[in-house]
Amino acid sequence: MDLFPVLLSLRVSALATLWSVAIGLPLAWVFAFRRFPGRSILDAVITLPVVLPPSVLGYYLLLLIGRRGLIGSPLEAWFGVRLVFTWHAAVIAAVIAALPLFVRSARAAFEQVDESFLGAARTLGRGELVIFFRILLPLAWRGVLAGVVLCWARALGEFGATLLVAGNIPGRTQTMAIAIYDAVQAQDTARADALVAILTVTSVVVILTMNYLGRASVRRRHVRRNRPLPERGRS
Amino acid sequence: MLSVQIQHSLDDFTLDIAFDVGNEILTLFGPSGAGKSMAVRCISGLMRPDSGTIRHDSTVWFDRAARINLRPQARHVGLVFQDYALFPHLTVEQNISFGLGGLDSGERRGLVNSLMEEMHIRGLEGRYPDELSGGQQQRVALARALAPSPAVLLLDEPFSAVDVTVRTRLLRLVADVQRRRGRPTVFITHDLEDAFLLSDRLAVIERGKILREGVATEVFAAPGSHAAARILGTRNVFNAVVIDRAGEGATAVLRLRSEGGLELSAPGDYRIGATVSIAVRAALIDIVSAEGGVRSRAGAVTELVPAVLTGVESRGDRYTLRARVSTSLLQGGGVDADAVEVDLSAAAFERRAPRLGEAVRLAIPRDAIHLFPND
Repeated sequence: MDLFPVLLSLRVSALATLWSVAIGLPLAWVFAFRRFPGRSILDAVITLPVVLPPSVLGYYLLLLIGRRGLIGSPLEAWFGVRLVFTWHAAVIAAVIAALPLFVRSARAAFEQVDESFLGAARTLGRGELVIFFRILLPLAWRGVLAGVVLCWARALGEFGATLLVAGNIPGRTQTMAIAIYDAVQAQDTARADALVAILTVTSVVVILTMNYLGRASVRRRHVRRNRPLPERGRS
Repeated sequence: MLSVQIQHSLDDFTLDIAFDVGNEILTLFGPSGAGKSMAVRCISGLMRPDSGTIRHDSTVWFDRAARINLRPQARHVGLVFQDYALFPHLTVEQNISFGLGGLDSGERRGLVNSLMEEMHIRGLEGRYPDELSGGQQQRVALARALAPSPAVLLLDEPFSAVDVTVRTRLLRLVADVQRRRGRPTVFITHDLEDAFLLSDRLAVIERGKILREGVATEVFAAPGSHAAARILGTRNVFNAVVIDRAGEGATAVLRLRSEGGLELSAPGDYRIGATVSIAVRAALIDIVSAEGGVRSRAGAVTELVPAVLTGVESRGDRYTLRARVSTSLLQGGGVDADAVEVDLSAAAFERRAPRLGEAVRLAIPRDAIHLFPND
C-alpha cells in the first residue's frame, strides 16, 4: 500500500499543530486576560472557521493565497513562491481550521487558573513572560494539552479546505482524508478500508485522551508522594 | 511612609479611604464586604482605583490626575493572601525563591535558608503546599512575601483559616518581623482580638469608609460613633441628655441622664440640654455590693450606679452579666430601664459569686466613659 498519504498527513497535522500552538498561546492569553477595543470582533474572526463550511473556508483561502490572491500574487511576483497546490497550502488550511479549537481550550484553561496565583507572582516582581511559563502554563497544562490534541485531530482530518487550496495530487498533496475520497471514487475498497481504519483508531485514541485530560483537569500537577502530617501544635 | 488616598466604585459600592502608614502596623478592621481587600488590591497594583493617589516615600505608585499607575512588579509590596495563594506546583523552596529572580543560585539559597529559619519552617524545603498544615502554609506565604525585601507589607486576612493557638503564634511572628524590619505594614482583619494584638494604629472601616482611625487602644475606648462602636463590639451605648455641667472647656464635667434612667458624670464638652451618646466597654465595668466603700485606682474617679442583676452568660473564659439600672424615676413609667452589660473574668466571677436578682452597684471608672455626638 502507498504510505505517502499517511506520512503526508502526519507531517501536515504535526506542522499545523506546532503553528497553532505558537500562534494560539499568545492569542489565548490575550483573550483570557486583556480587554481591548475590537476584542469580540477578533474573537469572531478566529472562531469563524469552526462554523464556516470547509469549502467556503477553502474558497476564502484561495482568494488570499491563490496565484491571483491578496497574498499569493505578490508572493509569486516578488519571491517566486507559489503556495497553492503544494503541501504548504494544506498546512495553512489545517492551521486556519484547527487554530480556533486550540485557542478556545487554552483560553478556558487559562481562565480557570486562580487569579491570586498570578497576582502573587506579579507582586513578587516577576515579568509576565516568566509568570506565563513558570506559573500559568504549569497550572493550565491539562487544558492546554487537551487543546493540542483536539487541534491535531482536526488538522489530521481536514478535507474540504485542503482539497480546494492544495488539490488532490497523488504523491504530492494527497493527504489521508483526500486519499479516502480518491479511493472510494476509484472503487478501491481495500485502500479505503485501511485508511478509514487508521483514522478511526486515531479518533478513538483522541477521545480517550481528551476524557482523561478533562476528568483530571483541576487536579494538581504533582502526584502526592506522602500524606500530610496530622495537624499538631507545630508551625 | 505609605500614603493612600483612593476612591473606587463598583456597582453600588464605593470605596473612599485615606490613610498614612509609617514604619508601623496599621490595621484595617471591619466586617466582610467593607472594602478592606479592595483597598489592599489597589495598593498592591492588582486593581486600579478610579481616582486618588498612592505614594511610598517619594515614589508615586498611582496618581490618577498625573496618569501614573505603576505595575505591581514595580511597587515592591509583599502581599500575603487570605488563601495563601502558594503556587501548588512548586515546592516550598521554589515558592519562597520565586521573587528572587535577580540573584545567583548561591545567594538565593542563603536567603531562602535564613528566611526559613526566621519563620521556623526549616526542613520543609522539598514539600509541596498541599503537604503542609495551614499554619505552615501561612509561614511559607509570609517568607515568600518577605524574600524580595518589600518596601511595604500587606496582609489580607492572613490568619482567618488557621486555628486560635496557631494564629496567636503567627500574629506574634508578624509583630516580630515588623519590628525587626520596620516596614509600613497594612494588616486586614475582621477579628477584634487579632486587630488588638497586632495594631499600632487601627482604622475602623465599614461600607468603604473609614469611620475612625487612631492608636488602637484609644479607638477601642472611644469609638466616636454608633457604627464604629457596633463594629468594635462596644455593647453599652446609650443616648443621654446633658442635665448639668461643672467647669469649663476640656476639664468640664457633665452630668448625664439616659432615657433608660442611667445617671452618671463624665468629662466632656457639651452644653446643657445637648443629646449625646455614652459608650462604655463591658470589660471596664466592675460590680460591687450595694453598700460600703469602693476602692478606686489612684487619681481615678469611679461612678457608682445602682442596678439589679438580671442575667448571667458564660463565654468560656469570661462571664457576661446583664444589670438593669434601678431608678425611682422610672417606676410606673412606660420606658424600659437601661440594661448594662458587664464582662467579668472567670476568676473575678468566682470571687464575687453574683446571684440573679441581687442588688448591686456598677463601678464605672470615669475615664472609661466615652461621649460622642448623637448621630
